[in-house]
Amino acid sequence: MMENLASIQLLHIKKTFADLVALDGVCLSLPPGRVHGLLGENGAGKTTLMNILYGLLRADSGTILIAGQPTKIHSPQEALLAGIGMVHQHFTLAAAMTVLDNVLLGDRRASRWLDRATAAARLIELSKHLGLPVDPAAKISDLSVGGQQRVEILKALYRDVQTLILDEPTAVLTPAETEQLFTAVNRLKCEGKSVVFISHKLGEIKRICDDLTVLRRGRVVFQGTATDVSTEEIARQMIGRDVVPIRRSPFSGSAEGTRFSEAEKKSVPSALPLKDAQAILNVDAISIPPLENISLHIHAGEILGIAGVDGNGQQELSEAILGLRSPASGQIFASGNDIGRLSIADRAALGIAHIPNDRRREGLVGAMSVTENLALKHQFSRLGLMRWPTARRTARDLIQKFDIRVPSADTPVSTLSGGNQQKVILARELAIVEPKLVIAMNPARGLDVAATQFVYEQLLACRARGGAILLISSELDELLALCDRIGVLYNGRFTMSGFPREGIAELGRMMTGASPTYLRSPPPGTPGGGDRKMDFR
Amino acid sequence: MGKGISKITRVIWSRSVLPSPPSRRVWRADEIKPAESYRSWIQTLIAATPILMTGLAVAVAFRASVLNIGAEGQYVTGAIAAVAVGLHPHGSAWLAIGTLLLAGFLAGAMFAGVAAILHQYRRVPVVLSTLLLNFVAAVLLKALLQGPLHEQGGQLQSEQLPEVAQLVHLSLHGRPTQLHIGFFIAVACAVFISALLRFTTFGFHLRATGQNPVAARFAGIRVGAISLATLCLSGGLAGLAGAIQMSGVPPYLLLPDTASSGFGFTGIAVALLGRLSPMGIVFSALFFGWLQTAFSALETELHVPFLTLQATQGSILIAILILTNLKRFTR
Repeated sequence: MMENLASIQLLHIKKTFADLVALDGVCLSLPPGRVHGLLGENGAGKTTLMNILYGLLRADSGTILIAGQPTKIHSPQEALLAGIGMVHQHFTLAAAMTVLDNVLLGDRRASRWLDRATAAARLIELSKHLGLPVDPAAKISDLSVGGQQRVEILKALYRDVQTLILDEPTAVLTPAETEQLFTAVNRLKCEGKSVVFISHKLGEIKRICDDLTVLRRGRVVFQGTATDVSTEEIARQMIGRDVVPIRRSPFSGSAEGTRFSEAEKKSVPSALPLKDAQAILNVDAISIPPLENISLHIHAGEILGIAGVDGNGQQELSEAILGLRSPASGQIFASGNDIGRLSIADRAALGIAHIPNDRRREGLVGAMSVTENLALKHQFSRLGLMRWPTARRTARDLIQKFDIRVPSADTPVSTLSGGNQQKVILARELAIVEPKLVIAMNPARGLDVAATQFVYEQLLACRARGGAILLISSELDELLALCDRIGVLYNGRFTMSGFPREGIAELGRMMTGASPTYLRSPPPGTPGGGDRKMDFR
Repeated sequence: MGKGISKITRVIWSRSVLPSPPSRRVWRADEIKPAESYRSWIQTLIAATPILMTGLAVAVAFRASVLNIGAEGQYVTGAIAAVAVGLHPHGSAWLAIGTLLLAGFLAGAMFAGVAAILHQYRRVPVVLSTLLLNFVAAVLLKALLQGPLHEQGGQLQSEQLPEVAQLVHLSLHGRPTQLHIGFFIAVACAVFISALLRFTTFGFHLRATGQNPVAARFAGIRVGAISLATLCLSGGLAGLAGAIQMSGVPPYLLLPDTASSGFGFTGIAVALLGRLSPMGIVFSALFFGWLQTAFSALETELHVPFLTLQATQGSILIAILILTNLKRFTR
C-alpha cells in the first residue's frame, strides 16, 4: 500500500478558527519521490493545512506521522529539523541582506563563526544541480520576484529538507521561470524528495503533480492520481459546480479604437497609440522611472491589456494615472481634459476607479469593517459628517449583490478570504460609483476559479456599460481572454502592442524583452512587412 | 508579612475607596467633616483630570499612527500660555476662563505643530521631534520664570492667577470642595473625541490613515494633512490639560516643578490601558487617579515612598499589555 511508503502522513487533521471550521478531518500522505498537488478555492484550507505541517499553526486534533512516528511540530524550526521546508506565497526574506546571508539566516547547524566561503560553494553547487541560478553575493532587493523565489527554495533545500511545500509558486513567475521551476521540481522528485504543490492553475497541476487532493470548505472532496481525472472534473470538484467559460462580446466602439494609425505602428516598440481625442484615457508620452516616454489611449467600452512581468513599470504607470505619482514629463488626459494637476480624490471623483495590485496593502484597511471599507472613497460624507446609516444600508445591498460571504456588514475585512476581500474592492470601485475608467492590476491574483470568474464577469459587465478598462496583468491567459488590445511592457518600454497572433508564446517572449518576431524578421512574401503581422482583432 | 499586607489594604480601603465612617474613629477621625467622607473620591477625580486629558491627546495621535510622545512638553506650553493670559483677565470670569483655556489649547497645538511641520516638510520622525521638544518646553518654562513671568516677591515662580481666572469648584452640603469643573471638561472632551472619531469624516480618515496609510492614500485621503491636523489636535488637548491644571488646582501658578509633572508620560500609559478608546481612557484615567490617591494615603499613613506608585503603575501596565496580547501565543 502507498501509505506504508509515506514519509509523512497527516491523519484526521481538524482546525477551527472561532466558529469557522477550517479543516474537518483531513488526511494526506506524502510518499517520497512524488509531487502532491493541493487544490481548492480560497479559504478551502490548503494553506492552513500546510501551516499546520510547517508548525505555524497547531491542529485542534489529528496526528502527524513522520516515518511512521507520531510527531508534534510546534514551530518552523522543528519542522525544518524534521525535514519539512516551506516556501510561502509571501516571501520571508531580509531585503537588505545578500542571498547567502538569507540562506544562512536561522540555520541552526551553522557554527558560531560563519564559514561563508564553504557555504557559498555549497549554495552554488546546489543551485547548479537544480538548475535554479542564483548569485550568493547579490542583494535580495536587487532580485526579481522570480529570483527571490529561487532563493526561498534554495534556502529550504540548503537545510536538506525531505519534503518541500510550495504555496502558489507560479503566481509571480514568467512562463520561462515556471519551466525552470518545473525542471527543478522534477529533479527533486527523482532524488526521492516529496513536494507539495499548492496552486490554482489546473493546467500546471495536471502537468507537474503525481497525486492530487482537492479541498472544499475544509474537507477532502477528491484524492487520487492526477492522471485519473480531467481538469474540468477538478474544477467542478473545487467549486462544487460547473465552470462557465468567459464569453466576451466583440468591441462595440468606433472602428478607429481598435485600429492603429500608420504613425502609431511605426512608434512600436516605444509607444502604444498616441493621442486620440475621443478616448476616455489618453496618456501622452509620460516618463516616470522606469517608464520612458509611454503613450496609450483607451476608448469607452474597451479593455486595454498591459502584459509584463511584475516590476517593469506597471505599478508606476497605474500610479501616474491615479495621481499617486507625478510623471517627470508627459501629460495625462481624461475625456480630453488634462488631469495632471488634479489630486487623487479629484481624479476618483471624475470616475477613475482602481483595483489595486496588492489588495491588502493598497486596497483595504484590514482592521476596519466592510461598511467602512466601502465608504473609504468619500461617497458617504456630507458636511464633514459620515452618513453611516446610509453607508451600512448600501453595504448590505452590495454584500447581497456581489455575494460577499461575510457574517455582517460590521465584520473586519481582514477576517475575509482573498476572494471576498476582492469582492469588497470590486463593490466599492465598480458599484458605488459608476466608473468611466477602471485601472485594474492583477485583479484575479491569488483567487480561486469561482472568484476569478466573478472578477472577469464584473470587468466585462463594466466594459459593456461603456467603461474603459486598463488591465495590467502578468497572467497571459487572463489578458488573452479579456482584452481588446494588448501592450507588453518590458523595462519601462512597450516591446509590443496590438493583438498577438501567436498568442501566449509570443507574449511570453515579449515579456522577457525579446523583440517581436515581426520586427526582427518579416516573413517572406508578406506584403507590407512587419506591420501586417499585428493583428488587432 | 501578612500583617503588613492587611495594614496596607486597610489604609488603601479606608483612605481611597470607602472612607471610614466618623463613628469608628480610626484615622484621625476627629478631622472628618461631612464633606470629608467624599474626600478620597474627590482626590481621585482631581488626580484623574490631567491624565485623562493627556491620555486623550496621546490616544488621538496614536489612532492615526502619529507617535506623539511629547504630551509632556505640550502640557507645559499649554500651562505657560494659560497663566500668561490668565494673569491679565478682561471682562467676566467666563470670558477670562474661556480665553485662558483657549490659550492653553492653542499653545499646545502650536508646539505640537512644530513637530508636525518638521515631519511634513523635513521628514523628521515625530517620535524624535516630540520627545526632544519636551526638553525645549522645560527650558522655556525655566527661562520665563526667571524673566517675564517672574513673581514680584522673588520666588522662582509666577504670580498666582487671580480668582476670576480660577476654575469654579463644586460644593457639597453647602461647603466648597477641591473638585473643579476641569474634570467635567475632560470628560466632555472624551465624549467629543469619541464622537469625532466615530461620526465625522475627519475622524474616519484619521482612523483609516492610522490603520493603513497606503490604502488611505490610494483611496484619495490626504494622509499628510490628516497627520498634521491630528498632531495639532493632540498637542491642543495636552495644552488644554496644562491650562485646566493651572486654573483648577492650587496654588494656581507656574512652578519649576510644572515641567516635571510626568502627566504627559503617564498619559501614554493611560491611553494604552484604555486601548486608545476615549471611553476606555476615562476609566483608565480614573484607575490611575485612584492609584495615586491610594499611594499618597500610604505615604502619609505608613511612610511608603511615593515613588512606589510609578513602579506599581508600570507593573500594572506591563501585566495588562501581556494579558491583552496573550491571544497571540495561544493559537
